[in-house]
Amino acid sequence: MDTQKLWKDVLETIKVSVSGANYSTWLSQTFIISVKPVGETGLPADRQVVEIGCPNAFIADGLEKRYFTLIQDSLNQVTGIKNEVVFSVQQIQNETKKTIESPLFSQNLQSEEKSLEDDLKKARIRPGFTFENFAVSSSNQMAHAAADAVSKNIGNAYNPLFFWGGVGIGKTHLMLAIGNYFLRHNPDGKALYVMGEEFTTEIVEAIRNKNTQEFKKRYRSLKLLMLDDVQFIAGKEKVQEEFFHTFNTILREGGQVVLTSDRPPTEIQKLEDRLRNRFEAGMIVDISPPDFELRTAISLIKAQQKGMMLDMDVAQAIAANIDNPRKIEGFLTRLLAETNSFKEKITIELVNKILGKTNGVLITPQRKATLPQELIDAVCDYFSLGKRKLLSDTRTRPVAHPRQILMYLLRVELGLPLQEVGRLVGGRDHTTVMHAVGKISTNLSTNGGLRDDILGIKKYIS
Amino acid sequence: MKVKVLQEDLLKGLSCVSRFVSVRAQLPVLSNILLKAEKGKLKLGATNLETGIVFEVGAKVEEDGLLTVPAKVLLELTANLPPGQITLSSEQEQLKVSSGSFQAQLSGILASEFPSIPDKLDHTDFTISGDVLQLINKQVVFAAAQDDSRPILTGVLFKFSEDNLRAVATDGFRLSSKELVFKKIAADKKTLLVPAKLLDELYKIVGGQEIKVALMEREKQIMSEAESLVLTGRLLEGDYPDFERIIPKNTPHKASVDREAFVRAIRAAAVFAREASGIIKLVMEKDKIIVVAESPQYGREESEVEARVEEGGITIAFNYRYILDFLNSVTGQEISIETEGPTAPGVFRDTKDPSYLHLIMPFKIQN
Repeated sequence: MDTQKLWKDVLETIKVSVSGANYSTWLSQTFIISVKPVGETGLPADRQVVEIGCPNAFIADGLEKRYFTLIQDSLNQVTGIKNEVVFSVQQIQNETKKTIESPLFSQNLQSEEKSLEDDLKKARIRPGFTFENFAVSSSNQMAHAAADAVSKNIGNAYNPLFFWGGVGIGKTHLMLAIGNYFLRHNPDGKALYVMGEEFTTEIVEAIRNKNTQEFKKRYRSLKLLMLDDVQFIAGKEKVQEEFFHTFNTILREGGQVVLTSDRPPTEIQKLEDRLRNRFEAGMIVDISPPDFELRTAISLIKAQQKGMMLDMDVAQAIAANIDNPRKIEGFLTRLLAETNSFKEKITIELVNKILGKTNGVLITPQRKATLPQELIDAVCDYFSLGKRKLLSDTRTRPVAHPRQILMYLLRVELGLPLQEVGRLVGGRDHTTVMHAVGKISTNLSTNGGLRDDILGIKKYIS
Repeated sequence: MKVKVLQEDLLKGLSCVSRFVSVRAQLPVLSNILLKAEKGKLKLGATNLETGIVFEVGAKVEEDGLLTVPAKVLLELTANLPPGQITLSSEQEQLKVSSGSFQAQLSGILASEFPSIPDKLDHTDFTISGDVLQLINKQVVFAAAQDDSRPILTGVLFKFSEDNLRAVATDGFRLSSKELVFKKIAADKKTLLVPAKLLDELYKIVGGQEIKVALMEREKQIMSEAESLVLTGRLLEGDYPDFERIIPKNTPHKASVDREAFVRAIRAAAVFAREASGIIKLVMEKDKIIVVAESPQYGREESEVEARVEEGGITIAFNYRYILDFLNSVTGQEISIETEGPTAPGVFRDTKDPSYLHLIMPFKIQN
C-alpha cells in the first residue's frame, strides 16, 4: 500500500479529534518511514509495524506520550488490521535532492561551463540547442541522422550539408546542435554561426571600411561555418562571390559548411550557378512539418525546459491544436504565465481554456482573413451536407458532429466571440458553443479521424 | 509547589531560558516556561521543540511541584521586582508570586501539557573545554549560513581524528576551518553536524566553562551539560559538501599585511562599498596592496597598505563584510592573503596560526 496515501488518510482522521494548534505542532511534519508486516512466514500478516518519522526528538517523545493510542486506533481503522506504532527521528528527505549550489562549491564546474559558454558566444551559437533536446520522428529523421553524422565527423561526412524546409521545423536547431556538439568536443575549434543577412552586412561593412582582408581571414580560417537562411545572399553579386571563395577555402582546408534555406538550391532564384552547383554536390535534406506525434514530443521537451510538468494527454491536446513548434513554444509560455499567476495546476481543462482564448487570436495575428460564410460552406462541402440542414435544429449525430466541428473552427480559427459563433450556427446559446469547442479540442488528441477531418476542411478554405 | 528564591538568580535563569521559548508558538503551552521544584532545586525549562534547555536556580524548596507559566510575563514581572527574596507558590493552574509588599497571580497551564525536556546526561561522550568552545565560536560559527534554505549549511561540521578536531562552517560564499587539539571521543563517530545557532547560544550562556557532551544516536540529539544547565539540540543530518576539494593547493599570488592597518583600510573603503553591493577591490602590487572602493553615487576611495607581495599585479574583488568578519576573528599581528587568481577563492590566514584557515569567494569583475 502506498504509505504516503495511508498516512494522509490517518492524519485526516486524527485531524478531526485534535485541535488545529496541536495538529500543526505535533503531527503536520510526520510521515511514515516503513510498514513491516509481522506474521509467521507463509501466512498472511494480520499485524504490521508502522515506523513513523518525526522531525526531532521532542516531537517523537510528545507523540508517544499523547497521541500513541489515537494514532494506533486510526491506523487500525484505516488499514483494517492491527498496527504496532514505532516513532523515530528522521527529517523529511527532500524529494529533489538539492545539491549545494553556491559560488564556493561550484567554482570549478563553473569555470568549465564558463569557457564553453564563452566559446559558444564567440561562435554566436545560442546555447540550449542541442541534439539531446531535439525530438526526432519520421519527418526529420533523415536530417537528424545527417546532422549527427556531420557533427561526429566534421568536414568528411557530408560537405556541405544543406537543410531546407518551412519555418519553425528545426533547421536552425539542428545546425546549432552541430555547432554545440563541435565546440563541446573541440574547445579550441573555430566555428561561426551567421545568418545570410548578417553575412551580407558584414561584407558591405568590410568593403566600406576597407578591411576586407580581416573579414577574409576571419571566415576563411573557420573549421565550421554555419550559414542560416542562405537564400538571402541570392541576387547579391559581390556577396555571392565572397561566399564562393570562403566556401572553397573552408572545404579545401577540411572544414565543414552547413547551410539552411527555406527552399532547395534549385529553387533559389538568382543564385549563381557555381554556388548552386556546389550546394548540390553535398547532402541536401528537406525537413517536412512535424506530424502529430512529433509535435507532442516537442511540447513535452519544451515544457520540460520551462520547468513545467505536462501530462501526456495535455501535451497531446496542445499538439493536436497547434501545428507549428514555435507556436507551441508561445503557447507554453502563455500557459506558464497563466499557471504561475493563478497557481493553477496544468490540467486539460485549463489548456483547453487557453487554447480557446489564444489560438488563432493572439498567437497568429496575421492569419488569413477567412469569412465565416466560407468556413460554413467548407464544412458543408466536406461533409456533403446542405447548409440549411447543418444550421437547423436537428441533433442527429451526422449533422450535430459537423456542426460542432464548425463551431470549433469558427471559434479557434477565426477567433470569433462565443455569442457570434452561436448566432452563425443557427442562433445557438454561447454555452452550446463552449461545449462544442471543449469537446472537439479534447477529442482531437485521441481521435485521428477528427484531425483528418479538420485538416481536410482547412484545405477547402486555403 | 512552594519555593523561595532570590530575584537576581531567578532573573538570570529566566532571561537565559526564555531565549528558547518559541517566538510564534501555535500551541500556547510552548510559549510558557516550566517551573519545577524538586530536591532542593528550582529548575526552569523551555523548548521550541528544536532546542530544549533546563536551567537550575538555587532555591529553598518548601514543597515540591511543577507548573508552566507564560515566559514573557514572568520574565518582565521578575525584572521589575526589587532584589531580594521572592516566593513562588502554585495552586492548581495559578502561580502566586510575592515579594515584600508585592503580590501577583499568574494563570498558567498544567505541566503535563508540556513536552518533556531532559535535565541530565546519562553518559558523557566527550568534553569541550571553555577555550575550545570559544575558539570555535570566534573563528568558525560566524561562517555558517543564517538562512534555512540549505539546512545543511546552518551547521558546523565537527570532524574527529586521532588527536584533533576540525571544525568547519561555510555558507557557500566563505568557509572557515579550524583545527583543534582534542582527545579522541569515546563514541565511534567520525563527524558530527551541530547547528551553529546551538553553539552560539551555548557559548553565550556558559562562556568559558567546560561542557560535557552526550550524543543520542537514536534520537539524533546532542546534549550538553555545564554547571547549572542542560541544553539539548538536534543534530543535523545529510551530506556536508566536500570542503577539502575547494581549498586551493597552489597559490602563487601571496600578500602579507599588518592586520590593524588593513582593518583601517577596509573600514574606510566600506564607507563607499556599502553603496556598491559591498564590493571592494584589492590591487596587489609589488610591495603594497591598494584597497579601492567605488560607489556610483558618492565617488571613489583608495588607500594603500604596505605589504610583502609575491607575484603581484592582480586585482581581486571581495565583499568587505566577509573580510571584516575574518579580520575580527583573528588576533595576530599579521595576516596573509593568497589566491590562484582573480576568480579563485582567496585564502585568508593569521600568519602565526596555521590551524586556522578562511576562504572567501571573490566577485567577478569586468575590466
